[in-house]
Amino acid sequence: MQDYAPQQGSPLLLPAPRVDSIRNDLQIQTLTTGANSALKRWPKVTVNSPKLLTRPGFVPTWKPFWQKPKTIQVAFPDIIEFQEPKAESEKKELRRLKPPQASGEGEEASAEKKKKPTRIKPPDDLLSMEDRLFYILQPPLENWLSGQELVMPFEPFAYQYEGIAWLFSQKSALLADEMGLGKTMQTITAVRLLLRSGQVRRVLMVCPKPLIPNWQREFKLWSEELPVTTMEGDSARRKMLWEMQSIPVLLTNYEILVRDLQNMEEEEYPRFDLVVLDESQRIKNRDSLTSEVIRRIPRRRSWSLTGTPIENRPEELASLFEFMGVVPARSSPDMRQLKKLSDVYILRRTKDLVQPDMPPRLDRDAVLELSPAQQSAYDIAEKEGVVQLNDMGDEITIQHVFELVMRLKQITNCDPLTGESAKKDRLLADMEEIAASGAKAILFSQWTKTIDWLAEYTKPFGALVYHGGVPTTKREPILKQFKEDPNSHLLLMSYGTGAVGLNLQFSQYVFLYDRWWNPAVEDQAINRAHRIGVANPVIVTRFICKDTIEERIDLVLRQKRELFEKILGDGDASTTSLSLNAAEVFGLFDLKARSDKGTRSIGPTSEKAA
Amino acid sequence: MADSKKRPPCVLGFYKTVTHVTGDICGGVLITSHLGRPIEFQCSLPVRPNATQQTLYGSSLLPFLKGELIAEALHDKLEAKPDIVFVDDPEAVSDTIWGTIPVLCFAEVKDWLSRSIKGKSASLSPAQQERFEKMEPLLKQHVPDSADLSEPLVRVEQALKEAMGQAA
Repeated sequence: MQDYAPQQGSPLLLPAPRVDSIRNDLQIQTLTTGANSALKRWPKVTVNSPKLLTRPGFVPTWKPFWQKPKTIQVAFPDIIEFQEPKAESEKKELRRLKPPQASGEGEEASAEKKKKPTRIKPPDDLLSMEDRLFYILQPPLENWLSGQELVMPFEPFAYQYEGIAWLFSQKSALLADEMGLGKTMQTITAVRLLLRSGQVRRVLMVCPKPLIPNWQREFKLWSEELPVTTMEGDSARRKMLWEMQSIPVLLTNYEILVRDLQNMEEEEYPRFDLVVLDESQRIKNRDSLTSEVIRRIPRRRSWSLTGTPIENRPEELASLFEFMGVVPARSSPDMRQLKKLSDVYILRRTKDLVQPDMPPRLDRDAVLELSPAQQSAYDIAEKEGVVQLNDMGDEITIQHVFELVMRLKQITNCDPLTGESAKKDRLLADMEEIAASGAKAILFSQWTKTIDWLAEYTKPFGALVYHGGVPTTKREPILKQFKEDPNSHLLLMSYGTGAVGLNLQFSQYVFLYDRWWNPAVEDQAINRAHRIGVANPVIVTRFICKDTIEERIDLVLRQKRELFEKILGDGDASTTSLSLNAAEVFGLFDLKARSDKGTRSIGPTSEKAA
Repeated sequence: MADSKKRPPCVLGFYKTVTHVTGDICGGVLITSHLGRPIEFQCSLPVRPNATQQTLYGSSLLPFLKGELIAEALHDKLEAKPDIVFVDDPEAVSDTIWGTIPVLCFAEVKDWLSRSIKGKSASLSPAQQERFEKMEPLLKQHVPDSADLSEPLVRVEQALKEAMGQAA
């Protein structure tokens, strides 16, 4: 063995490897057995699956397992089906009708509107997720109402779809659309959808007595399949109707409702899923018997309908909110709170907003000189009246002033001695022209006496009379005749009976023969003619006698129009429905009101006047 | 007035998932009548994939979550089984979870057949072609031609967003 230890002071050097060689020429003997050729063949491979005799020793024991996500269910009530009305063939024709397009509205604009489906949104105050999802998952109203599932006689306007969708989801709602925009139709359709979808089963519809036929007619038009029962008959029959649970829609008026329910124990009160108050300003006074009785009705949903949610004071709105259950009993929300509540619970649209291209309403004041006889009578009455008032000193009351105002207003309508009337002369002149053109006009007055008196002079124009003195059963035929008779050109109406709820949009002219105390009532009257479906401009003529009490009243009312706009929003010209208060009536004659009566409204109620 | 408890002639299902900004996924299925009226709605609570799932499924994680995990949970809970299910997300389709119910996707899906239904193009799994052809006459007969079959998916999406908003 070589020594590899390095020498002292010399570098490490490895020795060269040693190579040994081995002989590989080994001799192999091949035997002649045939095994050699067998080795050269490819082997055949087959697979057998024998059963294992014992459990195998190695099996992977883990496999992926994921816990299933938790789920939430939203249940939908069963659909309620109503018996479809007969005469299907006639209705099919009706379905094809379309609403009148506002002039100037092109097809492109309509198509654009149709592209946006109206979805039902859950109200902001609805907290339960299931309830919120219920509304979100409803189909767009257009799908619902396009004839696939429910038949509509006319296609609603886009804002009406929005109104229906809003009402559908609201438990507390005040639909305060301006008169003529279709509050009735929107309410009926929302009620229809709620009934059909099983959300409500029993609805109470309350309206002023003169409007019962109107609601019956509108229900038949917009939801023919819904059975509507009108509360009428003797007390035994009415009691039975109140107790019947299977009536889907019960239609009644305020008077019957109060009369029947005030005699019941509170635990006997009928229970409703929805109570709708039409012309709900009827409960503006929260201390009135009507308000108290209505608030006691057990109900799940409370809707109010009115074009004039505030007639005199903001507190009236609080009374409506109390009925709707959004403010505590007897509470007095301030202006800021009222505004906040209005944003949530009130839906109000004006014609300017939703129908900018609707044929306009053209207002014109016909300022007339009194006839000589009228002037003489007026001067004497005013002079004597003011002298008398001044002589009364501290004994003077609002009633004394009010009587004088009424006397003077009557003289401006007609001189009681001679029958001379500047207004009548002007009316007859205008009617000549209107009748010749085949158009129709409606005239409003505060007094039924004036209406009957005018009827004599306007017979040549086929004048018809519609006021509180006309029996209810005769009123519908009168409206029908006015609509259909080509020789009937004039309908004489009282503010109290004719100002609300009627559809007279085929009339192109409106005359306000004398001024009402409240411009909102005048607006309601005018909107009988100027409403959705109107094809032509509506010309409104207000008769105002020069240098008379009428001019002074007109001035005061105009000044007051702006006062309450801020509660219900800007640009709302028709909400300012303010009667004259005592101080303002005293002011008409430069008299001073007693301090404790300064804010009392002295306007008569519309019912009394009718 | 009578409650209508009978099953509509054709029951439609609409399945959709929504992904929250946090990465949670929520799914919902809306069952409607042939006219789009809701019959039942099931939605899942938000699902967040865990680390194991992310590792195991990798790039197929979303199809697993949407098309299998959530869809299966909803399918199992449904009381009203639909005749057909519509989806609009290729990741949410699965031709096994829904069993014998054909699934149509309003988007292109690789290797699926192209079909047209009520004016909309859709994809159909070749494995479900036969089943779909059996129920197609039902759709033609009962679902109105004017119906927009993708509209209910918008409702499901809004409902899921509302649910996730409240759950968050």
